[in-house]
Amino acid sequence: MIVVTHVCRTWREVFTSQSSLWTDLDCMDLNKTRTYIERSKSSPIKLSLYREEGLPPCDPFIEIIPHAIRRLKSLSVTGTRGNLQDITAHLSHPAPLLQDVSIYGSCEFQQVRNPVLTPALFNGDLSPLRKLCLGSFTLSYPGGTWSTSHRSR
Amino acid sequence: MVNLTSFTLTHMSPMSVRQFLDFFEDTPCLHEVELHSATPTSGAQYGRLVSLACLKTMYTTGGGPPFLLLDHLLIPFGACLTIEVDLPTPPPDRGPSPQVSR
Repeated sequence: MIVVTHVCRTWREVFTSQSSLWTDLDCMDLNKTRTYIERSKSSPIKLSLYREEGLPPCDPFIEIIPHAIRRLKSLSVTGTRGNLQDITAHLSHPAPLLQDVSIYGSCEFQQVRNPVLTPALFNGDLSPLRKLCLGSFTLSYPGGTWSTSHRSR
Repeated sequence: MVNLTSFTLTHMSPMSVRQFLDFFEDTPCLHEVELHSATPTSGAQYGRLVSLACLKTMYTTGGGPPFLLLDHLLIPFGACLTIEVDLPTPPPDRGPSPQVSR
């Protein structure tokens, strides 16, 4: 998408003014991610995170997510059983627009136990959610109180 | 998660029937359920029934015997229910069967 803004001034103005064109993030490059965040303005964001090599301290995801999580509409996370909990630990802020969540830990090391979803995920409120896909997790329910903040019993 | 309409579990650590039923009670709008190697292996809840009134498709494969969970679910007429089961591995080939002479 950034390439087409380099064609000419007109194209740049047209494309950068359309916030909905800048809402698909992969957080692979910090500068690119910052640009997308800025140009997406207040539009809902779709984030696809693929981190089978782990989450380094300088990962763009860590810098971006506190500012972007309130605009998250769709989140897809793929990691390993070993690093998935490190990633989800950064997802503790409320995500009021979040409708679609997919979190998957690959199973290449069978001896590694499934990670446990933290009850603090998205501040414990998943009420906006429409679609949920979980792979290779331990889902503590209802003891962990992760799944809902609306239980009446 | 009262608004959840689609739910997929894959290779989960074992969940009990009770945990599934608690979850389904809190997700009354579910249309689609997929359980891949994630059905419960224990924990029948005698006499407990949970209605999945909005269910349109349910798919299970692997995991524990699906009836452990299905025995407790009220599934609406017309919903599509697919259950894949792993058949036992056939014994090794012991050569051709003896010919029957006439």
